Amino acid sequence: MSTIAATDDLFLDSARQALQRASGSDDVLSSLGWWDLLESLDDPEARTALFALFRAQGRELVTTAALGALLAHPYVDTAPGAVTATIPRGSTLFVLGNPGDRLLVDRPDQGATLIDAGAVTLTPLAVPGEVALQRVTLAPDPVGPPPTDQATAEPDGHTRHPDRAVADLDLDGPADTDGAITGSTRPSSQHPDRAVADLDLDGPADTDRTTAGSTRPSSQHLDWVAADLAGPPTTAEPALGDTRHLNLDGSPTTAEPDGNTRRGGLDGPADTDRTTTGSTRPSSQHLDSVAADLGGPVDIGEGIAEAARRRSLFLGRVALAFDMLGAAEAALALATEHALAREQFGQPIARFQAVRHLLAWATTDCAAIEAVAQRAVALDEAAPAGFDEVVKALAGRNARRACERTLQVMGAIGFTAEHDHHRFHSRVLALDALLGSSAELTRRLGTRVRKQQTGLDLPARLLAAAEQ
Amino acid sequence: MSSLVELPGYASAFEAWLATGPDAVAAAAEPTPSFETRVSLMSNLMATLFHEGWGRYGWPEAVGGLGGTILHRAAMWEALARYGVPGMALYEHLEVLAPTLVALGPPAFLAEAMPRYLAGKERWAQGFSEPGAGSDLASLRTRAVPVDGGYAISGRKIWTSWARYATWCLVLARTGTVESRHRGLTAFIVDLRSPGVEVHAITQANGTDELAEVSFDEVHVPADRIVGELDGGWAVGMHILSHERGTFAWFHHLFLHQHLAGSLGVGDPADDSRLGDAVLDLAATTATSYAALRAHESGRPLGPRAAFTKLLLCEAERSTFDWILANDGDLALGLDDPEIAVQRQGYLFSRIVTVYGGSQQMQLETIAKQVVKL
Repeated sequence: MSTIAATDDLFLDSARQALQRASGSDDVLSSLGWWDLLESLDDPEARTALFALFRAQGRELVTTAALGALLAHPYVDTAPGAVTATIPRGSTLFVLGNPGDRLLVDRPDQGATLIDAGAVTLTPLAVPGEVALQRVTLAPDPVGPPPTDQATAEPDGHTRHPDRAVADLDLDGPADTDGAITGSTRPSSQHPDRAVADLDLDGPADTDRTTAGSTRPSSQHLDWVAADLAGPPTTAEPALGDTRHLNLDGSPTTAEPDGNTRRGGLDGPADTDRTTTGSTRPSSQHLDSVAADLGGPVDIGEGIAEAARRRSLFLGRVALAFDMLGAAEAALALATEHALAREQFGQPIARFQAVRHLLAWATTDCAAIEAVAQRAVALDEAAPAGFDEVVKALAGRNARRACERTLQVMGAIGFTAEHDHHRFHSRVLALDALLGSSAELTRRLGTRVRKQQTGLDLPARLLAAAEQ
Repeated sequence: MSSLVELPGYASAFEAWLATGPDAVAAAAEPTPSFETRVSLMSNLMATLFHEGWGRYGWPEAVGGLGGTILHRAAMWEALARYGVPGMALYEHLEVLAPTLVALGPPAFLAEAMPRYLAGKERWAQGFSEPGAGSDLASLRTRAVPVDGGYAISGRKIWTSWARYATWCLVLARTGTVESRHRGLTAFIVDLRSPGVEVHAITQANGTDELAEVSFDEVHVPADRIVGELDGGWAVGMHILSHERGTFAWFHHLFLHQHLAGSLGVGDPADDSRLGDAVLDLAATTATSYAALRAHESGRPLGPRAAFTKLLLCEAERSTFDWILANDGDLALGLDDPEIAVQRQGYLFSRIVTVYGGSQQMQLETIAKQVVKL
């Protein structure tokens, strides 16, 4: 299928080949020079290449640490991959792929906090579609290494920590303590005065979507930990100036004491071992010194976090859109191959218009995602307000649609576990659920447009950017 | 005025002119159910835009333009839509036919005719479909026979948009045998005032009479009125369709934004998801048609990708008016209020957009064959 311009094809192809060679290892980001791209977001070509990685991830069913690093980038200026942003959903935190030394937890209205990755428990979730999603539990596990699946439930059916067995990091504060989680097993109500900010991007309306507490055995409740880590809501700015990035060492300059550039891409101290087991992970010199200096969580004031948050969501949503596009394109390739090979009534089913049109619609679904996502990459900060939501909503909706159409073309074989189709479909479903689902974002888009009494000023923005 | 050849200068100067509230713009922005009245209001607007120079940018000097690219035209209509002009009416053909005329038409003739078109003094129609040739365009039977000084054209065209109001019609006629299919076609510029031409308006289900049936009885066409090559009419048709299905979506969808915005005041919060869906469809159209504009600007043929834009435009038009109908029940009832009457025309038209300019099924076949390679 040729739905993309030649240069994009080039980036996509090299990213796919690198992912195939590296079998999902994060080293692929270094070998692709991806960390350098992350430092060149001002350059449209670099942005195009940077996002091509995500499309390749969808095609190849690979998750790297790229998304978390991309999401963290607007907040902090660190060595490549040293900080990984957590992704809130409802009131639960996740990371995608293997995180760096520090995790960034953002709380709308209250700033963000960097915490040591060793201070959290990461619970890998069995998400189909090779989405390496891990649930972040801010408590260090007192018993042992983090459980890996639901088998961590004790044989007697009790969870490991029945008294803390609520999955979500419920940070909504006292107002929500009568939410969906049953009272008795909900420790947050025990510490209403220390509850921290709402992590839920969509506001309190979603708090009743939290994962059902005690039936999720591997999770641990964290309110007390979160409260301890973050303390009361941070209102004061850190004395770091009003720079876009928070420099972890407090220095406004970009030169390291040793003369290296701050984010030297591939030439900085190697972040070689990206395992999640805290203390043994070698980290960059830079962050080590920070950790030594500060010795604990680092707060990023709301003044910095607010602008960073908007930028972070923009980048992350566009990245997820490309990943979903890649997965939908892969599902389309499978269905196309099937339609050409599968014979009924003495001919390939690709001869039947009903089948051809399903595939043509799926291709159109993908073409729309591609066009809108590419405009987002080209416009970047000149995009109309809320355009990242448009991109993500359209990508989720269309990629899902495309997978439904291709599933219909595949017939029953496409619904088997042994066939790959469901892996791409599941990846779309999982990624659609992150950073705002298409259902949520579409409704919100409608509400905003209705209230503002005006549509998207995308045409004018595109023309205004066209001359540059 | 030279800085206006650059888009930023043009766009801001045009915006400033619009802000002065020109009468012709205000008149064209009035809801006008009568198509005949619309034609005269829009022709008046085109004359003003030409006189002031705005309507001449984006067209080469050889045809009365002042230079610039299709992006100038894209910007002009974007601004006009924002200032309340509800559509291009029959000047939509400026963005369907004229790019092909300028690229492939006879220069001497166009040097005279195009300025009159741009200035709203004359209008053009497109004679493709026939009673026996719709989706299967290559089977058309209207014939052009060589005669002294040119050709004699005989046959019938149907669904010829705006022929009633047009001076010129670009007619696709057979110069080879019927068996030669698409290889034996030629595109002729036919003067609809010629002896032997009859135009019968067709009143549509939405009350306007924009379509027509046109018959040709040995209509004489001078030899220098051929667009493209003799027997090269198929390429001309494809050139036109790449605009009709590609760049045209940009111009047409601008007014869908405005239709939607005009109804937001009556929007039901319970229907916000559907509104969001319509906005997504519009965004997809904006993005794909913008890519078409840029492709045209840099001379890259759009090819089968124009089918995506056409399909997405139709989806956007349908979902926009679906939402308007669901939220503005008056639309189904009244014709007395001009504003509602115009919305109603738009709604009904949105039910047929998947037919004109190549049916939805033909677009899907194009994609299945040429993009998916089935």
